[in-house]
Amino acid sequence: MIKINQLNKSFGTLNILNDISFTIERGRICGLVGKSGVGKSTLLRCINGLESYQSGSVTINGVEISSLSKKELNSFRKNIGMIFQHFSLIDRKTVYDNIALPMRCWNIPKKEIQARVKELLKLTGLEDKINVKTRNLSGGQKQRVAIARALTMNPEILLCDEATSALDPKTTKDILNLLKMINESLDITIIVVTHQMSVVRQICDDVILLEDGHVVENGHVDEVFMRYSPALERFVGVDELEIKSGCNYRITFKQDINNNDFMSRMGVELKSVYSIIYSSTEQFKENKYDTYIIDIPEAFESDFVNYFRQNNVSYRKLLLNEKEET
Amino acid sequence: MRYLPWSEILERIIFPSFLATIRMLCVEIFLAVFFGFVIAITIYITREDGLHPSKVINTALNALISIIRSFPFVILMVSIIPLTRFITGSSIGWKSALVPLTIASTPFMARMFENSFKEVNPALIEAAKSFGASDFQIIFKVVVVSALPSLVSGLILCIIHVLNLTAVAGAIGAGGLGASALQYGYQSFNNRVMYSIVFVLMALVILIQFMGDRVYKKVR
Repeated sequence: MIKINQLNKSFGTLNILNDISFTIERGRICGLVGKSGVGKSTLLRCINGLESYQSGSVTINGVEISSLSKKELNSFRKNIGMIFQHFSLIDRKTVYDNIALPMRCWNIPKKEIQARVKELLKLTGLEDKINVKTRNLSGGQKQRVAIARALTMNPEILLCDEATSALDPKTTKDILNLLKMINESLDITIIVVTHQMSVVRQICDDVILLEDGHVVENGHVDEVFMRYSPALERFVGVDELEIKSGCNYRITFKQDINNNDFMSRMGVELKSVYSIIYSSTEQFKENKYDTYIIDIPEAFESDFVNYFRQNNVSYRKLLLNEKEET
Repeated sequence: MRYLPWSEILERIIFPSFLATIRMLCVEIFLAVFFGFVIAITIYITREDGLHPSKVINTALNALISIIRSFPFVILMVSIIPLTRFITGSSIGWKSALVPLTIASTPFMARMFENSFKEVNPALIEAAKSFGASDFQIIFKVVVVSALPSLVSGLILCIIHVLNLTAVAGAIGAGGLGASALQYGYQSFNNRVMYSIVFVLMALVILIQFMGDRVYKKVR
């Protein structure tokens, strides 16, 4: 279990992380998201002690990271694997040598190293590449090697720093599936730092949203998405939609058999018309969510709100002239 | 000046001085690589974002390198004669020449190596830290390993540079090809000797470069 409490970090006078607190349970996949430069990579590095912090605490299974000596920290890092955006492999060495490197640093007998490398290559699907120099591999293959290297010491936690940001969508999907498989079969806690919402959608159980060094959203992915807070909206936003008139609500609900006719049912039951300004469907892991922005007659506003409540639909009234990012 | 037949030039001048040059070159390269490597590593780890930042050591070593490198070799050689005499007990001969040669080429070697280390991607070092490598392991299992091709090409450059210096060192009685070209060739008005030695030096440089390139390709 990773527990971060009131963490503060600054570079000189520049505050990077302010009063960060959250807990990640064993075996979860947690997305650490935010726009670039909000300090998510720095936060990730506080977890394995690559970055120090000014105040607060980071504990893993009850051990405070900042209390460890350099030697203890090195040993502790066996328990935490890490992969990077640009793979960080030694290009002139073979796949075997790259994966064996951590074990060589820990003086593990050659026989064991051989067995372990083979096992990891099987897991990552690179058995035929064992003697290929890593510079001759594709991006996706390189990241697989990096994942294998991160798993050599049987870690309990895997940190991923923008691990798919340099990959094309198809390869990203493959790597994410591999991570999901590792999470399920090896019971490894995975923390993914990313600015891509698609990564969160595909594999994350929990999500922590950072903005200006603060945690602004934290919870199960579907809960956070249902809430659809302004901060999440600012992060996800792509298109801008300006609301000029009317009484507008953003509503979000989970798709299931009981409510696939929700929108039409609402109009019939409330005996009112409304217009749909925007609609979208998004998938989080196995669940699909529909989001609509609707313009409703002001006289019926309270009826609609009650109806949203009764049907477990999350809603938020949009202000006029507010730049609505959809 | 009596006429020297080719066999005599080869046997009595070129061959012994060739051996003398090779001997001086080998010992000297060994010393310069050793000291140069130690200095380069020290500068590298004491950099601002290095493994053990130390502004004092870093600035001092950088200044030292720049100062020594600013000396023309001939001047350096004569100006440190007292030191040479203190270390080797004499100021002439090939062993004595090793002192100025080492002092002149170590900073060159160190700068070369340091540049190679600097090229190593810092993300690689971060990755090594993330799996718990010690500083020693980071240097020798990651930095040196990744920088090896670049170290090799730097080394080749240095060897040829040092070969040139050994020829100059002939001026203080170091012996070798440079000294012979000067003494039996130029000063004895014997162009045959002088140009044949120049030819040997040329061949030596080409050979070193050729072998160096092969090694580079192998370790790339």
